[in-house]
Amino acid sequence: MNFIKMKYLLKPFLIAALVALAFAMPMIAASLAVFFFLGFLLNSLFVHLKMAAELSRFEKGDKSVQLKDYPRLQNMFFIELAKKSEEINQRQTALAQEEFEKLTATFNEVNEKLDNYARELEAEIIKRTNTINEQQMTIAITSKMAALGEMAGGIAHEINNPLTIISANCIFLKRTIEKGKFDPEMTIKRLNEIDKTIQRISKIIQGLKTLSRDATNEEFATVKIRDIMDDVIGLCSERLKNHGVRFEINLNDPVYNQIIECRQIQISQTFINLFGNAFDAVEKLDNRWIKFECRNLGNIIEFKIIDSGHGIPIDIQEKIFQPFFTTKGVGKGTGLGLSISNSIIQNHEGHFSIDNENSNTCFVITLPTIKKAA
Amino acid sequence: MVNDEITVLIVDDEQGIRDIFGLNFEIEGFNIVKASGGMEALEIVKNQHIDFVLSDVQMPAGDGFTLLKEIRKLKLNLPMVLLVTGFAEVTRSEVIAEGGLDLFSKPPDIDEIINIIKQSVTGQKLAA
Repeated sequence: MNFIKMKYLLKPFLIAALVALAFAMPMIAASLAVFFFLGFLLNSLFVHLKMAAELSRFEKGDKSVQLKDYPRLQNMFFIELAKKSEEINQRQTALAQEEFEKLTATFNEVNEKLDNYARELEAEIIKRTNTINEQQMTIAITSKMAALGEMAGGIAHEINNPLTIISANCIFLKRTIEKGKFDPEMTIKRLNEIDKTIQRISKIIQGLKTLSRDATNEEFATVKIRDIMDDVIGLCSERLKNHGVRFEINLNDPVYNQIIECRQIQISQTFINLFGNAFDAVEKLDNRWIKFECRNLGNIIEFKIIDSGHGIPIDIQEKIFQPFFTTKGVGKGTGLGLSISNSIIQNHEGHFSIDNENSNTCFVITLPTIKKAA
Repeated sequence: MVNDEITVLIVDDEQGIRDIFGLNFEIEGFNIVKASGGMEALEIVKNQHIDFVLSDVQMPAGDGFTLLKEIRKLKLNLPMVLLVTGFAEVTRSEVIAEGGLDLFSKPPDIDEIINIIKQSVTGQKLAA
């Protein structure tokens, strides 16, 4: 057959071809390898260039660039994003740390300044408190001196009148003897008059102790209300009488036997101050009187000092308890009387007020009979 | 002249003072009239013969200095001495400027006042 002939005919060629192929194979393989390698390189370059361009556009905000079209890019982008994010986190942490340290430093600085400021303030407060204490002491002394000054004229009047009686009685007795008109009965009568008048002066002096004694550190003590009023009346009644000011007080009322726990001199000073104010208010009026009332309200004693004046105008009622507020003329009032009296009553856990229901001027003071526990 | 021809008006709001001044003057033989305030004293001066006025200054029912001025207005040549008890009620020069004889502080020297009364009243009576 032809085929078999061809087979034998072609066999050498086939062998030759196979041998050639055997020799050519590595060459082909090498060529193919080089070809694919080059292809791969070119492809990579192309893809990278394209990706770079797309990324650049994407970064510039070109919305037509779809990241999902480039899965690798997307992948890379996310890796990059994650890296950036991590970087930012680290920077933020670093920044936060730095910021926190700065804040802490500032806070410490401010704190230290505040501490210093507090210390300075504390020192300043102590200094000013001392100044205020000194001033208060000066005010108390000034007020007492002013009260004494105001009263000096009155006291001179109160003492000089009884002194005149004593002196004139002595001269009279001397004359009766000199003129040989000695009369034992008359002499006894005159001596009694002298003695009575000396007692009168003694009461005034007794009342003066309330002004002369330092009441700043006075202790609370139990006192009969009548004893307080005796001192007050001893000091004020002559002055009132000499100016035609009627003074009403019912000392027979058993309420005056009531014992209260108080700083006696301070309470006396308060009443003397109120009587002094009442006196100044009614001195020039046609109808001149001052009334003192006292009531027992259980554990509280209520005192009312009423005068024939027509009340305190509402608009100045709050001011009258303020220090240095006065309606009296220059040199007459210090403006301290009521403010000091008010603080005395407050310190006694009492109450100081004006009774506006009364058609006359009426000050009301309430004091507990027993001092409340501190 | 004899003392019982001399009438002294004592003006003081305090009864104890009026009484003991009165006793002192009576023992001298003066006639005594008493008043408890300036207004009452002025009425007395207007209505009866008075030779001498001894008056307190500070009194509720009319003060002594006003009494002095009122008496001057009446053109009465009436010697008057004022007495003061406190401070700054009135000064001696003010009293003299208003025609008063003198001003004393309480308690006064009664012997001196009696002498002033005698001298002034005798002088006046002699002059008259």
